[in-house]
Amino acid sequence: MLIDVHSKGETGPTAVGLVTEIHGRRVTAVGECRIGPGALGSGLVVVGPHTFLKLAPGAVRDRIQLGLIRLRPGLDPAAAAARLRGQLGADVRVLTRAEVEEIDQGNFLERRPVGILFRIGVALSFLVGSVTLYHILAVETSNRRGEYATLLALGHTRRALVGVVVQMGLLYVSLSFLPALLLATGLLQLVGRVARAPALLEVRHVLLVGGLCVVMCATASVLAMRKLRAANPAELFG
Amino acid sequence: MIAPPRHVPLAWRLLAADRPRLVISGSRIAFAVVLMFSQVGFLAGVTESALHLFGALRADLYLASPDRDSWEIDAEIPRARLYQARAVPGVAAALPLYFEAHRSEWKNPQSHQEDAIRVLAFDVEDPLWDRPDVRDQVRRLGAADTALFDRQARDFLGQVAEGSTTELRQRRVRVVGLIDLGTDFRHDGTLLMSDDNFFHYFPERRRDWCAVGVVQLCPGASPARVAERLRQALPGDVRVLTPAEFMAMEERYWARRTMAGLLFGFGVAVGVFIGTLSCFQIVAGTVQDASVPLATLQAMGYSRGQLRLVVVQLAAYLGLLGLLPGIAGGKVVYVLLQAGTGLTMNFTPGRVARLSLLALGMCVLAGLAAARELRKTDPAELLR
Repeated sequence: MLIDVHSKGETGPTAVGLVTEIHGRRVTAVGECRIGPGALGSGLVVVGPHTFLKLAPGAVRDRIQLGLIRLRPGLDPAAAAARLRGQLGADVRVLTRAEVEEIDQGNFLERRPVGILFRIGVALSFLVGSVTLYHILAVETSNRRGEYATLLALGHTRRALVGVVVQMGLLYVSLSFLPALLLATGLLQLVGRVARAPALLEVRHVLLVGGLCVVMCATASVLAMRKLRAANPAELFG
Repeated sequence: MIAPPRHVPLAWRLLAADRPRLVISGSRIAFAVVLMFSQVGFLAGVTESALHLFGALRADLYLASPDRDSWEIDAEIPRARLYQARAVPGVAAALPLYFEAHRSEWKNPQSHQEDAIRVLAFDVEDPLWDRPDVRDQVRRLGAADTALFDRQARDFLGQVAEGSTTELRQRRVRVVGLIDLGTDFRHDGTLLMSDDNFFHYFPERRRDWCAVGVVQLCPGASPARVAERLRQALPGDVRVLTPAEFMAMEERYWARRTMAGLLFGFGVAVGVFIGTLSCFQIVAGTVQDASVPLATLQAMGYSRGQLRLVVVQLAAYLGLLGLLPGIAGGKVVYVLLQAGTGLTMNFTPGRVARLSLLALGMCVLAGLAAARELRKTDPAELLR
């Protein structure tokens, strides 16, 4: 077998030459590969078909999990897939590489509880972030009520003041975004090392979080603006 | 020095002076508490869901392979060990349980899509099940190609009613009853069937090996003493475990050795850190806002000790005010998540108490820290 050196720690040492058992049968690691564990499986080995049939009782030679198709260079995968679908029976699905990845991911995100839990986690973090930012802005606004009242008395419109609050919110968010990003990168690297998970922080994730931050900022500012309505120039003399 | 009138609830009045701000601060603490509860709940969903199967079994002790630390690990024990166990004084029965969850493709009766389902098998004559609903229906499993289906299975396994017929591993199977067991992180549904049917569907399984042995004791026998006797009587290829040990092993496996458990473990660490930090910051901010009235009190002759008490009270009130809706919110999150995922998340009193203590303790700690800052409040500052 080839052993995946990115398997998680508890699967034991992953060196070439290792002799151990799978399902009570002796196997020897004759080489290594680098694939990494999934969210549920913790390790992986690659074996040839003969070994596989011996290791997996009940496996039948004539029945396979997946068939891999390599096209001649220059052929359009979608068109080839359509042609295959026309020729093969209904007991086989023809999928392009993108479709397989999409199905695998959808399977995980939508049908399995993992995806539901992580998504609710994102929603909750967003809520907590919004409430925190709102709290900061609300306190800031009401502490500076005198200044805002002065600005109003000087002839600034309420709309202009609202703009100031929004700017303040954006400033807070953008100031903290970079340190937060660095912290998150460090944390994810730590997670990746401990869980050996491919916890990748991709550009689209950063953009998603950035977008959420802007939405968070807008919501919090709009809510905090209500504090401004209380800003009354007459209060200056109170 | 003036003795403060006892009936004036100073801390409360300081908080109530600015009600809108009190509402914001309180709800922020509430959200922090909900965040902590939900992260802890996510992890519980991974670990506790794996355990409800054990609650349905009538087991005083378990026999399992030493290589096995979860249902995930397909390590079996020789059935001969069960016969040996029956000879040990105090043992009333030692019953085999067979298990398959990988090669058991279940065909959704509507969509005809195949997904693995957990299959548990046993001798239908054995008094294995504690739950009356399961016990009553197990009798129907004597006929060929029959099974009981867990009605809490995930939707994608299909709509299954009593009398439904579909395929398991491309072989006909008839559902003769529905039970309630529940799913976990790995298993999307469960089938119960007789051992005879099991070996019909999974002929590659060896009949003289089983996944787990369930030991039932004679009335009055001490589990600890019988476990000791069993350990001495049985060879090293079997481990003797109490139900508590068996469940702890399963829980530990899910929390420490699966990626889901590790990731949610990180979630708990981050959630609790952010939650307690928020509590601290909110209380510290509130005390800071109250610095002018506090300085006034000091100028009126209140001692530092008295002021510190007021501040700690204020912190505790604020903490409680956020905690109660926070606990209610946490409960709502658990109920929604259980309904949405089919996982088990127990809102145990112990868990509530631990997290509440943590949040409240952090608030009081923040109050104490803020009270130290108060020393810098100079009554003279009031005059500026």
